[in-house]
Amino acid sequence: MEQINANKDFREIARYLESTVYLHLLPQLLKHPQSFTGPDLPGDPFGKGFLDRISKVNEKTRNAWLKRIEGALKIAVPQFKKFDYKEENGRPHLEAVYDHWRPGAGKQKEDQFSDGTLRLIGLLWSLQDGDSLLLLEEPELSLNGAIISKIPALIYKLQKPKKRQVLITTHSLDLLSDKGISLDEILLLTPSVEGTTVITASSIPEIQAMLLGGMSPAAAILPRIKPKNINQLTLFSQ
Amino acid sequence: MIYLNLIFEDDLSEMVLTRLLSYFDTKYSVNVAYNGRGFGYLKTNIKGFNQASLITPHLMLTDLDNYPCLPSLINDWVTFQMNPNFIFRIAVREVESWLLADIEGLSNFLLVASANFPLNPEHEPDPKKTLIQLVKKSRKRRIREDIVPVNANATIGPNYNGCLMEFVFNVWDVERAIPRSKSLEKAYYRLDKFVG
Repeated sequence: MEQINANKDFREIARYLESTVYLHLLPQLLKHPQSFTGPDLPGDPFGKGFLDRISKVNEKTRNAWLKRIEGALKIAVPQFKKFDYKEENGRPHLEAVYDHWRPGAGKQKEDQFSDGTLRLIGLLWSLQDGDSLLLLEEPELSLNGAIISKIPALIYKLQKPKKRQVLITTHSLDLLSDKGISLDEILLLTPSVEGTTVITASSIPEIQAMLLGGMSPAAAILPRIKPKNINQLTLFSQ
Repeated sequence: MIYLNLIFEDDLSEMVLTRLLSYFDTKYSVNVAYNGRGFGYLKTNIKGFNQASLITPHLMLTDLDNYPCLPSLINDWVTFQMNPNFIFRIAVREVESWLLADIEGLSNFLLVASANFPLNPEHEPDPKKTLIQLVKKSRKRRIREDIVPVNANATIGPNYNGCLMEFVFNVWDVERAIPRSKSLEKAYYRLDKFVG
């Protein structure tokens, strides 16, 4: 496979895998990059270079995408008013303006944004940037439940024009309560000693029946994924 | 101004209530909104909301669904003295029938001929299904893709609520719908006469 002549038929697969984007934005990395020295991870999976990614997009497109994100943040984040991309000393920054009783006092740079705000920005940016396979780890982290419940529809709307595939991992009741998610879009991973089995939720007849009975995917599926003896968890503290 | 807390089964019901309240200009303002994500939460907590109505008015909207008639649901759910500031409304048989009742508006929004619409939406056993079947006939592709489930393994489309929100806030006309929906008419006049 490593021989150029032999691997010609497989290059498309390699290209596809290479273009896959994995984003699990860790707010602390973005806020304190100087504390995390050492070689950057290929593909920047944890968002240390997230702002560089934003700076590399052409201005017109960047402004359009940030405008959309600004619209979402105004709804999701209390007192959030405005949002701009700025470059200072050659470094890219995001600056937000919040409503504040003191005029001019409500300015914050990205290192002061809340974790939830940063995760939401990361989510909405990565859904707009690119059209290859996108992998998102637990998009619900640090977000308010009501926002999380809108994530499936947001993903649908933002990826629709590109027809790009988005794979997410989640534990979230709020996210999985969206009845617009088809059961064959949900994969259940069951680890065991022999390995992990992966099946679609639609392959479990009871789950299909529950759906027809009006239950949401969350109500039908989540009880199945809790640890078996979870009720004993508090015993160890004795 | 009357500050109301709202309790409802799903996003669509919330939008419908919000739009309905706007018909009374500045009479009502929504304070807290409780999304039950199904009727179970509403039925379980109705006593709590009724109790809280002693402090501030509450408006709860639920679907009649499979109960044979309105009194059967009320007898099942309301086993206590209802506070006058607890406004309990029931959509017959689901909130979708309140949308179907505005044949002209929905027909224009979906671009589906009005002849396809039921004249008595309250008689539809499954109004959500009726609505989805109508949307399948729509000439607007984006609306079909938003509202119709992707396949048999989902019950609504991936942007069901987002799309219907556009209808509820931009097109739906309660006055046009009232002649075809008794439960909507009763809800409207209850809110009209209510004094907090």
